[in-house]
Amino acid sequence: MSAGHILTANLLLTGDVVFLTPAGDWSVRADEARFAETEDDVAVLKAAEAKAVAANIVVSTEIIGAEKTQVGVWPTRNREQIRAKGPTVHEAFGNQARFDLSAFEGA
Amino acid sequence: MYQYDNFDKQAVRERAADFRDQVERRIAGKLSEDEFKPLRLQNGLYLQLHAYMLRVAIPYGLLSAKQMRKLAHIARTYDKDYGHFTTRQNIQYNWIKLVDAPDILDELASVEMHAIQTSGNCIRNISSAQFAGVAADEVEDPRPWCELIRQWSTFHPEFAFLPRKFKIAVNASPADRVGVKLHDIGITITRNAAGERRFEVYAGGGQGRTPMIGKLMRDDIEAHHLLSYLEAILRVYNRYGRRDNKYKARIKILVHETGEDKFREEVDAEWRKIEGGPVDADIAEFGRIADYFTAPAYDTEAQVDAHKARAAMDPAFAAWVRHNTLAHKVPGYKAVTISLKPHDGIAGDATSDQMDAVADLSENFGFGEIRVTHAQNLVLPDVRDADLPALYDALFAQGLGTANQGLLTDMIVCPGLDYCALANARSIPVSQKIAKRFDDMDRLQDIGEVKLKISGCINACGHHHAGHIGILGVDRKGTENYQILLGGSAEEDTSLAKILGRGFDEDGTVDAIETIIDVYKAQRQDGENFLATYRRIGAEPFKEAVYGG
Repeated sequence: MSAGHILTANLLLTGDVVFLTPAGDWSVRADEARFAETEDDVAVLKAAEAKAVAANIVVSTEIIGAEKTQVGVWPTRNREQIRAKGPTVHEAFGNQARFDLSAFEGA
Repeated sequence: MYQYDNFDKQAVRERAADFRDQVERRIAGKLSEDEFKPLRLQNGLYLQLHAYMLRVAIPYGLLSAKQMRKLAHIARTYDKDYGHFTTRQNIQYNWIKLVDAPDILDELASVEMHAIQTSGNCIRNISSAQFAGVAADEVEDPRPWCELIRQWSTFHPEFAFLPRKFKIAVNASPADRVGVKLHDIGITITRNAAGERRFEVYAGGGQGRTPMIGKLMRDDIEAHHLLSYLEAILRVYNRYGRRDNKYKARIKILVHETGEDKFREEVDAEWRKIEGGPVDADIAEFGRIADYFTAPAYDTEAQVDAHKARAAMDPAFAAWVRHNTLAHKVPGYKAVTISLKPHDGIAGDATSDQMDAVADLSENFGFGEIRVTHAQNLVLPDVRDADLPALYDALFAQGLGTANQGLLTDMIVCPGLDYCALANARSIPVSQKIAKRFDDMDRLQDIGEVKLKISGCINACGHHHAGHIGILGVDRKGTENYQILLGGSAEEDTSLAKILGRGFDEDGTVDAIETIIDVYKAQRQDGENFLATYRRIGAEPFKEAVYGG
């Protein structure tokens, strides 16, 4: 397991929670996020952040802590894990209703 | 209830059209997010943890059946089939898309509703008692005064950019049902010794990270001076309130730092300049407004206690009547509280179907009027005693028949970290675990009145400072932790709850609450509710039981 960072935001039009992917686009899945381990990697995230904000694709951008485990990349903080999954009291809402995220239970 | 005149209709329609234009310019890139954010907030549109959240104003918690159906339609069409009723008597939708927001504002405007001033540093929705106009103990109906203040404060050019948000509540009963002393301005309508109407005006109360009890500014404000006196308070606050630190920007800090007497002097000095001027002239509008709040055509032959036969043979119904109905000023009627606190649910949430059902019931068993309470429940204000059995059956079928109003599981609960971008801990799961632990109506009724209030951060949207038992969620080194407070009240005996000791995890909190209730049951004397026992015996017995000797 290694510690690092990922870039998250909300889509301007819908407000959906999204994550910057290695391909440079945005995914609603945190486990598909581009994982930044070094300062150079974080600089890449920051450059992408500025570009996406200027292009009016996303708002409320934030570089957040994440971990890379055997099952994939996942946010570190409880708050960001809830953003990535959906509300813990409504399993029918959010990504938890759309994708199998069981590998990240208790992460 | 109040009906929009042409000016009101035009103002709301124009505002919706303005916002549509602003959204289009934002999407086209002609407005940056920094430019757009204050515009969307002025229309109640936040960006929360998962999506945009729209807060819709429900002035003093008053809704028509038609408006409730529109709220259901919005939930069904634009959100995830439910809405969340708030402690400011508003409704929030948690999953709104920016592109849909202009259409939603148009939908709201079509039923004389909007989301104006539900965010931002302005005067927010005026709140009032959920039983306004029908409570037997009321001095007079406060709703026309709420409406007058709403009209004065909406789009008030001087108060659009206050140091911080500003909340006003109006009560008109000896029983405080609005938390008068926990508002930026709290107003109580009274009668003086000569039987003349007077307004008691409190300022500088509030909860949040620095809770304070409001100070009585004056108790002798006459009706025709109400608006100028309010304006004087707002002017002093607007001039001297701190803008350098948002955490010290509320009027409670100004009153506290200035001193109650000095602040009163400042307000009086300002008031003398405007008293009797054009602001006070607005009181001429009052008669027109008051005409909208005349009593409906009550059945003068409504049979008193016509529900008693059913109550005698149905304990569950009898318990619901005992806890969820209130004496009405008209014999043969009751005001009914519809609990939005099912033990397996989320406080304040209602599905679209439930909202439609409540709208139908308000027409079948009343005059098509619904109230939203600050405790996140709904009220049907005018139900004949004879209709209570049929209403109960209909509510029960909709999952709205929980007989827990005022009991332990009738909790105020903020959205917490499950939805809120500001929260540090989740509130809803704790409330659900407490409800499950106490999921026994006989036990709840034996415990009696307990006001339990849960916030997921120090901003105190769940009113934990005012709970007989308060729970405050905090983040302790990345882990959710819950502090327990005891002894708060938002009623006429207002007090601020005090922290009992170190916090607990979620399950530990539920255990601690049960221990606290056990202490109360062991120590209570005849007729004492939880708060009365706490005030008599103090915190120590509870501390000893929860933390050991």
